[in-house]
Amino acid sequence: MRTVNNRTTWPSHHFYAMGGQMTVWLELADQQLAQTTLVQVELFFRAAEARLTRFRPTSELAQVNALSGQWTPVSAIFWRLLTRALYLSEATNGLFDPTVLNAIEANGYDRDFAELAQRPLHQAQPLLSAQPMAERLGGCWQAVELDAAQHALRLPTGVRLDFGGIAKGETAQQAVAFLSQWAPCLIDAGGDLVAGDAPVGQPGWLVAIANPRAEAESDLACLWLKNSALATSGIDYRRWQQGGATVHHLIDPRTGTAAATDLLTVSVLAADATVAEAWAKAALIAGITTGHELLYQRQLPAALVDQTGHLTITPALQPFVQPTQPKP
Amino acid sequence: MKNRKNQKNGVNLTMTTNPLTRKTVTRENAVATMTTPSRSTTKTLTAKPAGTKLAHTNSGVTILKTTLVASTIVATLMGASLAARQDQVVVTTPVVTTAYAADAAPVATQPFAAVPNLPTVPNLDEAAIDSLLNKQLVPVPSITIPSVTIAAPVARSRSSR
Repeated sequence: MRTVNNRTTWPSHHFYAMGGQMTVWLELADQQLAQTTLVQVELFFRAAEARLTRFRPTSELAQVNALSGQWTPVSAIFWRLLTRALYLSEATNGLFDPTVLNAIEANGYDRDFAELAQRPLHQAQPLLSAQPMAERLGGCWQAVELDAAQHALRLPTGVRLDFGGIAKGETAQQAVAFLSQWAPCLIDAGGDLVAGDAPVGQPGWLVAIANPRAEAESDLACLWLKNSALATSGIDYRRWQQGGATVHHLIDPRTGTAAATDLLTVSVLAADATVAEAWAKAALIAGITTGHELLYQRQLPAALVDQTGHLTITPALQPFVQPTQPKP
Repeated sequence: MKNRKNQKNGVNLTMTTNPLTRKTVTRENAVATMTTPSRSTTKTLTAKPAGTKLAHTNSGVTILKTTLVASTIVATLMGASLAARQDQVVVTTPVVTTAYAADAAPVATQPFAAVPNLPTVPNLDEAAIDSLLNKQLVPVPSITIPSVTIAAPVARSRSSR
């Protein structure tokens, strides 16, 4: 395989999809082939977004949500993501939960964040359903019924799904699988990083965990990423004003409200982007003590930054961390 | 795991000031100090009364010489500063100890509580997901790469943007 000579630049492609800025790198010397392939990745993301977004009434997700209480057949992609999400809900003991969409919207996050950010004093629309609040706001993942033979599901009446970050992670993971047929690749899916093989002559793709408290580009740690994913969940960016208070987009399924956590961000390294994303979110919601314990028990490499800016890394991350400062 | 307690508590990293920045500032201060005398000389000459043309000429030559010397010093320092910066960008990949491989023995997954509806679903593909979830990542053995230049990270992981 031919590769580019310059080790720090690769053919890349930038686009906005799934509510975030995407960048894809592909180590192909043939620039034209690289660009053609990269554009296919953008089309793949757009197709996935059209199916999985909650902001378009025509999406498969919106239609499934509109049919809560009824058995609804879904596509293979939807089924795969749904079963993965429910499995991760079980693994995280419900801290990750795809059934919290009503609570997210009750907190004011009822439109694309780019639009929401322009309306900081937005007031949430009142909920229209007559279902009990406890059922509608989340924590209902165990009540989702599945028919594996038909690839169909039935949501409890009034309960709606939102796959959130794992939809983006799963799409990036699939895109890396596609690109890896051609060459080493890396995808930055709005801050979640998914890597294929390492660039030729290098141990991996050099990536960093950004410092959430720094205004300029600043890194907490660098590491080589290869055939794995690094996802960060945080409350440092997607925040807005709601009823005079600052709220964020991460819902605690136990309460149905924005998580009251002492953590600012959690970054998790895993073999798969959905696993990294779900555990990052679960640990963030759990808080520094329980979150660190959960990650430690499962030997997950992770970095946790609390609201004072203090950084804690799990023992499993230590072997991966590279120095961010040059040697003297 | 001899040091289990410490590992459990995690490792706290303290952010430090970039030594590159500190060094650069020091050099720039030095440059500023070197140029100050020539400015002072110019001011003194301007203040002298007329009729001292010869003295002005001699002083002018002195000023020129002083300026040339000062400029040479400044240029040399700037060159050294640039060279130092280039030197500092080049970093060799540190050796990762192989002790981790022994420490990273997989731990049995905690049993999950029974869930009412999920057991009725036959094809959650739990084996595949289990395998994925429990896959131990292995640190990239950077020791196989004798020297790798670290310019800057290709990408940064952060909360959703």
